[in-house]
Amino acid sequence: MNNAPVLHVSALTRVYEQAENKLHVLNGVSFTLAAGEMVALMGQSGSGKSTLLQCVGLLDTPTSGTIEITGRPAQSMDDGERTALRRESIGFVYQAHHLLPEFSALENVMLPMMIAGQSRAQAAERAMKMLEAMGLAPRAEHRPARLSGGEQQRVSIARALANRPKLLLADEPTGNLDPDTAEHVYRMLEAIVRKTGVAMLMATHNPDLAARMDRTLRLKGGLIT
Amino acid sequence: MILRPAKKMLLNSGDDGTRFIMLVVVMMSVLSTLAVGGALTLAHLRSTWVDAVAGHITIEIPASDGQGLVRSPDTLHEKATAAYAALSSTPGVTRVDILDRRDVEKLVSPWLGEAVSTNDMPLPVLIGVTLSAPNDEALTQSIRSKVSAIDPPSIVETHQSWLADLRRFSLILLLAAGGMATITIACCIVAVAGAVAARLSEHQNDIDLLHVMGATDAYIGQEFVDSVVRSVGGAAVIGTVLGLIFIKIGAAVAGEIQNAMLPAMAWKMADNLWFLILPALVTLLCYFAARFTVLRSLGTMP
Ligand SMILES: Nc1ncnc2c1ncn2[C@@H]1O[C@H](COP(=O)(O)OP(=O)(O)OP(=O)(O)O)[C@@H](O)[C@H]1O
Ligand SMILES: [Mg+2]
Repeated sequence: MNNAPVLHVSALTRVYEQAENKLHVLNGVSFTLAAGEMVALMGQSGSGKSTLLQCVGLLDTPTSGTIEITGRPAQSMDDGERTALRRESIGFVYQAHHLLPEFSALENVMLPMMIAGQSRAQAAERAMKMLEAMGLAPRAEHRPARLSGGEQQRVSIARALANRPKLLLADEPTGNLDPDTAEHVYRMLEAIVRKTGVAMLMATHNPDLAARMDRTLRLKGGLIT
Repeated sequence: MILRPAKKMLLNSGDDGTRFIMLVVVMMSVLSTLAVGGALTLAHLRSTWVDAVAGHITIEIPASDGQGLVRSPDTLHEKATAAYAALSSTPGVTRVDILDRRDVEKLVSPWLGEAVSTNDMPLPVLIGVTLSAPNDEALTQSIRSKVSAIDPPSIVETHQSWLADLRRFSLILLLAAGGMATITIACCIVAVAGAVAARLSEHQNDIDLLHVMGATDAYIGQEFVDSVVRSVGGAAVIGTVLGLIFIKIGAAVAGEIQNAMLPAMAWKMADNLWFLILPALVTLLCYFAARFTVLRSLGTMP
């Protein structure tokens, strides 16, 4: 068994260089996430929450510092290895607009599995089960445009979990939803973490939601306070 | 069948764009097929014309001697007979024909008109010589010296300057046809690369999302490129077939006109290979153009 934490971030910095001036968004962020943990990421708008999630998700390259996912250091990997690690170990849920519009809900959930090399039949079977678990079976053949915001977000969650990731990154997943739907989606995420043991880092502006999670990381001035 | 997100993006959305590109490729393929067909016909005509002339030498025994004195028909006949004997026994000469006074009269009378009598006109004797091998310099040289020994004022015409002109002229036409084919193929490539680039930027969000899901640039790129190759390949084949049909129609029309200057429009069997190579070449080049465009744009994406 791998006893390494799901996520270990150490002295992470991210500096955006724009023409003359440099924007120091992250100034040495360190933290660890264990399996089954549900952690809130808070901070003012512009404090760097999305930037941190992009770095941790291996979609953005930090200026310095280390990121280890299930004990594997990402900074020493090439692009292909990072992509493979992301495919196998990381799922993303965003605030909005993150389904492929030309694909049905079912196909959207199948995609990560097919990219990972599974057969269409295998992918379709698992995707259907996941949509059923999310109460979306009747919507499987619909395109995203014909789904409500809450339904779209549930499809996104199903897709994020399709390849059984160890780490789930969520960037304000309930930010665009009305309170009832937000509550519904949050409960669903909570149930998934408790059931599957995935580690979840969720950026949110909602202090009530943050209070219900295992702990909260606060970003301020590029540091965790 | 597997799920091909990029293909679906490329073909499903903006169907008009895809159709436009196919149309461009079809038209460009028609044009390059016509250009290649024209070039092949020209090359065929060129070699026919060159062959018809290259193995022939014409010897003129002039009516007057070097000093401008008109020589008697008997003298000319005697010289011609001697030249005939000498040439006939030369190895490498397959045929010698003397065009005597009557033949030459027949040759020149259309230019002179009925009214002019050629009876008293000093006419040269012409000797046509056919060689077994064209462009045999040594043989040509030996014919020259033999003829000049028999009759110094005689002129040995090998048609070289006419041939050189023909070669130069047909080469220019060939280059023009080749240039046209090249430019149309280049247009195809530019159009396809442009369409791919546009489609990629149109789908920037979707591509970012595929990255998020763990798709590599190679994976995304391959799907775009595959679908480009399929549509371009189909269009190139259609365009080539259409071009060949146009050529056939053109050949039929030309056949009706029956221009004596134009030998059969037919080209050799091996030349047909060009019409297999052409769509394959267009597709291959578009494949590389699409691949380059895709990988370059993906590489620059955040
Ligand atoms: N690609 C980029 N180039 C330059 N600056 C950037 C880039 N991405 C983000 N930034 C800047 O980095 C800072 C942090 O942005 P980020 O999106 O991480 O904040 P956030 O905490 O997610 O904010 P919000 O709560 O509004 O989503 C902002 O000032 C933003 O302008
Ligand atoms: Mg953000």
